Amino acid sequence: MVSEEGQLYTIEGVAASILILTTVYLVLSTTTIFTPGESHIYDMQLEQLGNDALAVLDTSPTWSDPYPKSSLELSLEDISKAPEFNTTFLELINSGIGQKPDSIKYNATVISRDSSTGELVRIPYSGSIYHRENAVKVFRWVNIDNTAANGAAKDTENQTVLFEVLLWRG
Amino acid sequence: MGLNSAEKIQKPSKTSIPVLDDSGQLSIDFIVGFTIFMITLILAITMTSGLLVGLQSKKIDYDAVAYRTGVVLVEDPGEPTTIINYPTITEQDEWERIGYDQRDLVKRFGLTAYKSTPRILTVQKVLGFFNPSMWPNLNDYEKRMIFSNYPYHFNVTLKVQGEPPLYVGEPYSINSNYGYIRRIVLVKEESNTDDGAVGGIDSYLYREADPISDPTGEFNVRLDYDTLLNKDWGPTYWIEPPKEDIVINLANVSEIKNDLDSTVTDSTLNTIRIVYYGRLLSGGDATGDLPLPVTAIIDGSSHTFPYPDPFPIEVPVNRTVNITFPAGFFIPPSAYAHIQLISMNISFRFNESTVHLAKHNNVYEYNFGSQGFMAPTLKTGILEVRVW
Repeated sequence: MVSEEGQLYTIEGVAASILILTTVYLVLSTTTIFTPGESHIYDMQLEQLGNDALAVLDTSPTWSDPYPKSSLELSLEDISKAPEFNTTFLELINSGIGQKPDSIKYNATVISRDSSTGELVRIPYSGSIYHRENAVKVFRWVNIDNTAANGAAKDTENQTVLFEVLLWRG
Repeated sequence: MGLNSAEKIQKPSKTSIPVLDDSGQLSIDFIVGFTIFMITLILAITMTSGLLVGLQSKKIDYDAVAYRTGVVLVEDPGEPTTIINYPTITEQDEWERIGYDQRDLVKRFGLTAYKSTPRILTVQKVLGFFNPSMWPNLNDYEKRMIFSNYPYHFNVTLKVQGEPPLYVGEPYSINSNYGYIRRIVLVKEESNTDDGAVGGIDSYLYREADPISDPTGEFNVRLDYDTLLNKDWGPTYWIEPPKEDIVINLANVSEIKNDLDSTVTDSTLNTIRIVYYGRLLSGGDATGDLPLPVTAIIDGSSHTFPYPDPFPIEVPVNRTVNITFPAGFFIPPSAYAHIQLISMNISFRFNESTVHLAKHNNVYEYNFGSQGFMAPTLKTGILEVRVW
């Protein structure tokens, strides 16, 4: 004799399992899962763009004797040119051809040596304020003539400084 | 007992329907439960394949292919290409000059002049690449820059500052899913004798103030290979006639018209010749005319000076003579392989009775530093690769 005891529990169990399965399916299928490789690709694209922009800005459009100074060198030799650098750099990294302009932000710092203390000093140059967004860092060594008072580096002499740029999408 | 049972078989009881008990029967509850279980199981199995949708790696693959294609185009000169110090190069040594008929010789596309100058594209390679009349079939691009058995769709677009965008590949929708890379590049444009400013090459054409006792009708533009391929400047800035266009624009030719003779209405050009100066590998000097016809735009219309000269030709010039020597024009033909080139003179031979050329400065150095000379300039551009 099949008793009715337990029948209700079975149906409840089946119904519950359907509910659980449906919920899990819905949750998983509506969430985009970023694999580590994928986020790495976006970082790589940003890094490539930053390196390209710095290289292009550090190349003079024509030769001039004895050596053509690039716009990046000129910008670092005179800190009052930072707004100009800001416009050019933002335009370079954000302009796409067949799409809306990108919304990449940056923060640039000059790292130079302070001969009085022998320490490296970080001097903010230009860009937006960085609030711990997911950012990539690109560098370029730049030779500058920092003898004028307005130079971006610490010591007033010819030197090589490390130009550090943080890039993120904002 | 046995008899009874036999009787029972032989004689069915009046109540012909046998009494059934519950044993061995499927309960309706069980059928319902089992059906629900099966439906759930089938649903669960069909849904499991969809669980991995978010994990698919196609996007990663497309991005990687786009990145690789970007590197191939922006950081490599392609193949075949020549390295510096070539004794002699032919049309088949630079991929952008190999025509469609011989396309099998082109192994790989790449837009830089040298491997040592990444991001610096040459205008000749750019125009050779974005050239649908030379490469009408997209498969040819795929084989030479994407390198894959999988049939990827692609679109490569280059926008140089102040110029309309160039593109190759299939149209795409901005909202669709594609692999993407954006590169910032510099495009090296060709040099020119005339930057448009007053007092350029035309100042070399000014006539002698005094009547000349020993008139000369020849004006030369000199290309000195040693100074053009300046090692200090490097491939980013130097002028390399075998790989770059050489543009010579003479403006205001009327300035040298012989106005002492009232019968002269225009300066007339007899011919334009290219004279090479070189050193024989076996020792000794070599010079002579290159056996090539020269085509020039004179006052806006094209004119070809054949070789050899069917002398005399008289072409009147009122204002301008423009010549563009395409890249590779000055490549010494194989017959000249034993000569190390030192310089080339583009010699404009006017009828001397129609001009009064200043005799002391009738050679214009085609090089950086000459008046009005426009050195190669680098223009910023954005190159985008999309792959899907």
